Amino acid sequence: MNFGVLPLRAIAFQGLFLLIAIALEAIVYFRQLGFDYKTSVRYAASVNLFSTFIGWLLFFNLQALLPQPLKEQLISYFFFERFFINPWAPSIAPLLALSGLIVFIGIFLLEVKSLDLLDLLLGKIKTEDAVLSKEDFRTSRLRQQGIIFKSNSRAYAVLVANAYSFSAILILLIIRSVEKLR
Amino acid sequence: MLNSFSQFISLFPPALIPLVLLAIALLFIAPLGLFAFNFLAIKTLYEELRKIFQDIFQLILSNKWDSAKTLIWLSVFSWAMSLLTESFIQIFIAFCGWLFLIPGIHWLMYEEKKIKDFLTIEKVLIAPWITGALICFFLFATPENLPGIMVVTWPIISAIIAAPPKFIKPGPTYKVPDPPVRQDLIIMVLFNLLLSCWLQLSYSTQVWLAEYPSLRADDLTNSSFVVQTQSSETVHSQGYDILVQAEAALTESLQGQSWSQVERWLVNFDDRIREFNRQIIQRLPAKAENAYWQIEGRVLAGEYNVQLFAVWKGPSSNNAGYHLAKTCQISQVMPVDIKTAPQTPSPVGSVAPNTQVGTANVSCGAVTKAIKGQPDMAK
Repeated sequence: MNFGVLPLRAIAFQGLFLLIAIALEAIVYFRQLGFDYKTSVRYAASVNLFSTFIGWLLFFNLQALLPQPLKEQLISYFFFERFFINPWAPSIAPLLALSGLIVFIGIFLLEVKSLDLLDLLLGKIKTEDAVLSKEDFRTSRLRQQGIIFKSNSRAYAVLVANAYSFSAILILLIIRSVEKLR
Repeated sequence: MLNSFSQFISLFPPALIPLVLLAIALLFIAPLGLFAFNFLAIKTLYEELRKIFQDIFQLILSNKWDSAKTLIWLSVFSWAMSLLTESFIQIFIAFCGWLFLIPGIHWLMYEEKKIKDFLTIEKVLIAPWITGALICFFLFATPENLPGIMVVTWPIISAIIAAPPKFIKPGPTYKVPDPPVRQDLIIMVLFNLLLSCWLQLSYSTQVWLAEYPSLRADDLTNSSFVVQTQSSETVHSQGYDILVQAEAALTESLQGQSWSQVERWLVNFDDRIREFNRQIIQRLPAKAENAYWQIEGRVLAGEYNVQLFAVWKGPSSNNAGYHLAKTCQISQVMPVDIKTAPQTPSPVGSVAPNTQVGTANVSCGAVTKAIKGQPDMAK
């Protein structure tokens, strides 16, 4: 194989975006979920790495399934940062907007789920259950409401965190495209 | 011996002979004396040498049997043995050699304090990644090529190797590590999965480029995904091959033809070019990009200049695509020329009937560099 062309810029950009996303999301977790600083950075890192990995898996499988004209658009964008004029060209912008929305919602759901998964792996849920079993019935009902509220606030925190990180990355991309036009 | 010595002595005048003998004697004795004088120094030198060799031997050979070096020596032994044998026995012994070598090197990196310190970067021991590379090479490499899966699975296998030591507590018994350690493990594994994805992306790039090889010759500086590590000047796009073949086809159909035949051929030039298109593009190695190459041509003013174009209509760095061009001159060779130039390989029979008009000679220039936009088709 001839490695005259390597996706080094893609790797550099993804590294940068991941660092920004982890930093911003860690701040949000730190404020909203009451973790200490170390824990929130680690949670943000695991959750972001996990969603990135799932995203790559989906990308590799979907690009093989794309119809030929769409795949050519992808290749044209990948290598030349511009779309190729073929019958699919007018529908590229709506498709991109739609896929952006799907990516945002998908990553949000994935991160909420992976936070739970992380708790399970780190054995955090067990301690909460243990605390809960000690309470008597009446207070436990109150507690339960509290827990429901807490899980809601957790989803809210993830949503806010994602909104921050996506906005930051979007601003960077806009700056880059403006820089290019000049 | 003695004869030559007396000959040598007779060269000198007799008065000097004792002096010469003395000089010769001194020449032999002086180093001996020096040697005797330095005997102590040499002795210490030998001792130093002995120490160095002892250290080397201790480095290579271990005095314990249950050590990494034993395993590495076993693998060297099996490699040596496998050279003596043939066919499937050789493969089997070499296989065993790998089975000894991989744990041996892994063990060595943990056993030797110096190696371990050398391999620790920022508190992270990179030994599992070295072992992982060896395992991937062992599992997937063939003498002919190093497949992509070998590189892509490397971080994953390394993560799998790096994890188990955390699950063993001194005892040794199995135990689930503490939450902080688990958290680090999770991040480590996820990061390695991401590394695998990046490696896979570089292979996907190669797969796309294999389908669209002419993209290599284009200008990729605008991309925010890839960098060109190799200058695009050195890469030919497929248009180059297409034009070379088109030249061959043109030469084949016109070289040595009579001038009237050439003129008849050029009247239907557009049809001929369409014919070339069909033949040459179909004969190219099957790739997705072939549909985007087109041969075009025009007859320039003058007697006769033909310009051939290979036009790229696929994705490119500018809107209009690009094309490569080649100009061919079809000239008339007078019959007189043929007679005076006997090196022309055309058979006599085909030349004889055309003596009045002469025959055609096709000579083509070099392929131009890629020119932006579609070719100018004006006559």
